[in-house]
Amino acid sequence: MDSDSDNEHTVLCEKIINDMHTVFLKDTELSSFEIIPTVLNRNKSPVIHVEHNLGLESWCAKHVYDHAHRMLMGYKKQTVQRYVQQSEQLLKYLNVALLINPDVTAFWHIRRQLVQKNRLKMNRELKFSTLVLSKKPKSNEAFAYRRWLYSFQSNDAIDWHHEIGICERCADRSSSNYHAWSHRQWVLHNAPMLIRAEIMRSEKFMRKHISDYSSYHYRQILITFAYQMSFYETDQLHQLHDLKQLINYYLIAEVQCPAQILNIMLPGVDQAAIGEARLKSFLYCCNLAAHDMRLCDDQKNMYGERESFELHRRASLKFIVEQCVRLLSGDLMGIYSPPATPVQQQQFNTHLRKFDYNSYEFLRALKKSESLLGSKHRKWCSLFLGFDFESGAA
Amino acid sequence: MVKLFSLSVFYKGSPEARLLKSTYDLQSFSFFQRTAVQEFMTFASKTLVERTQPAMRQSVKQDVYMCHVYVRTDNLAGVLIADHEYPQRVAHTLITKVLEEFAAKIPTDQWQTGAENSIDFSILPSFLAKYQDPKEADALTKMQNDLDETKIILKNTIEAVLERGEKLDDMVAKSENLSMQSKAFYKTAKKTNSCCNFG
Repeated sequence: MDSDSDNEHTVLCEKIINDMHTVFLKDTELSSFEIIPTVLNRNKSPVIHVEHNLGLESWCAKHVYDHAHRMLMGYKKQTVQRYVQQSEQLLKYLNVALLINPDVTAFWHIRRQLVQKNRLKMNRELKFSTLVLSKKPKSNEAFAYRRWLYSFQSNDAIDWHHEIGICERCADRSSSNYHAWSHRQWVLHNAPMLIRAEIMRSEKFMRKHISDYSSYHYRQILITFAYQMSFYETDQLHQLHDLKQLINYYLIAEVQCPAQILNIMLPGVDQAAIGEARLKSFLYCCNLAAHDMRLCDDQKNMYGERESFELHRRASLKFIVEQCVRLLSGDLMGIYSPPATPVQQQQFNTHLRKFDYNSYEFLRALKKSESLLGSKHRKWCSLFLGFDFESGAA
Repeated sequence: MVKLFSLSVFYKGSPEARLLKSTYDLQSFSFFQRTAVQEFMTFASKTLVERTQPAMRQSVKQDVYMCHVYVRTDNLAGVLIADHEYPQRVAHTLITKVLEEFAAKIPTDQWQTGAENSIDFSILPSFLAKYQDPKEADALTKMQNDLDETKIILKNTIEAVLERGEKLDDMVAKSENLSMQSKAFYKTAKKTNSCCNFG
């Protein structure tokens, strides 16, 4: 009796898994998978396929997963050489098991082995991992698998815009999505030509997801990266509207042209030694940071206090101060770009603490103005920017 | 997230409120959830209108959602369901504006007898789309500073709006406007209330 019902159970699970596999074979454009909450088995097929969306009714998910898991563990007892021979069968169980539970590294590993033996196609695998992300936008395994797959492709052959789109969708579906934003950083570092588009996209995202600090953090990485790559947009350099406003706010001075801005922010610096591209990028990136400081203030007026506004404003302020200090003491440091290692960072922090802000008009005014924003902010400034308010002019 | 999900216009009859027009933006929900989510939003909107007095504004929080309700003295009512981060002032201004437009366009005799398919008010979706960005709409809201935010009544759950003895679970179970599928979604959401359960 028991073995009979066991048998029946197995047949049912096999049937459901086969149904799902048929959908996979038939529809190569599947865009989402999810488990549909249902209370009862209504004696209909629990596999639902509508307009490239695949759903599995919840009552059977546990049983189907158990069965697929058991079968896969059975295969794994054989040698690798043997089980990769049966890739069709394996794939059937792998798809179902990973869609229901994407967190099993062992199953992803079998897929990698199959790819290495040329049993699975790259394109199908990329699509499959996208499908997993539609169910679990925070799946680190799926992102890692994509990066692994791309390691076999040349950089030029990869559709990076598509990859950014996936990151954005996953971050939108699930807030503070560390894995999606890490993946996006990886994309950015591999495809610096995206910087310009990313500057626009990241702002749009921040405006919509006002408390999702992950997106603000990405923006900080992006601006630093743009500066590292000496990135600038020539048509923006004529305006620098936000930077002019910031200088105006601190110094109450009307500035007109980029040369004037440079004289105010970096007085006495040997501009020829630094190089034109670096200086242009300095202006461009500081303008972005000034833009973000203003954005945070505007958002605060609209939505009220949020930790993310406060923190991002500070990060943007820090960017501007740090880059000024770096260029002002260029001969001392010998490096103009942000520190690459923790040791360099530490050296720089020590340097920041010793830096004499009061000798420079712009930084002195900035320091004074920021000191008026409350005792907490003053404490942060002295810890992270090395402002010494006691002995200073403030 | 600064997002709007649904906007609907009702006529508050007694005892039932009549749905006159509605529009939804449910792209952020997964495909098979959308029908259930839509049914629930309509259900919640109707329930709230029925429990809001004329000339009263309420903003009711439920999980991450905020339902903004306004019933005019002439019993025309509007409900906006938004994410809780959407600014409340803009939300209520939107409702006021939509109801004004509606009242100007649809004759009063249709309010008590009309239904969604018989009422010609096709600009409702464009309101929802335009107000997705509250900043865009803010120019407009600044002109309407007569809206007194302190008069909006805030409630922490839908339960807090219900009358004595009423229970949300019972109302969901009894409702004829919710499908079996939606009721199953409601039960599962209550039980797990998380995304990391695959059972």
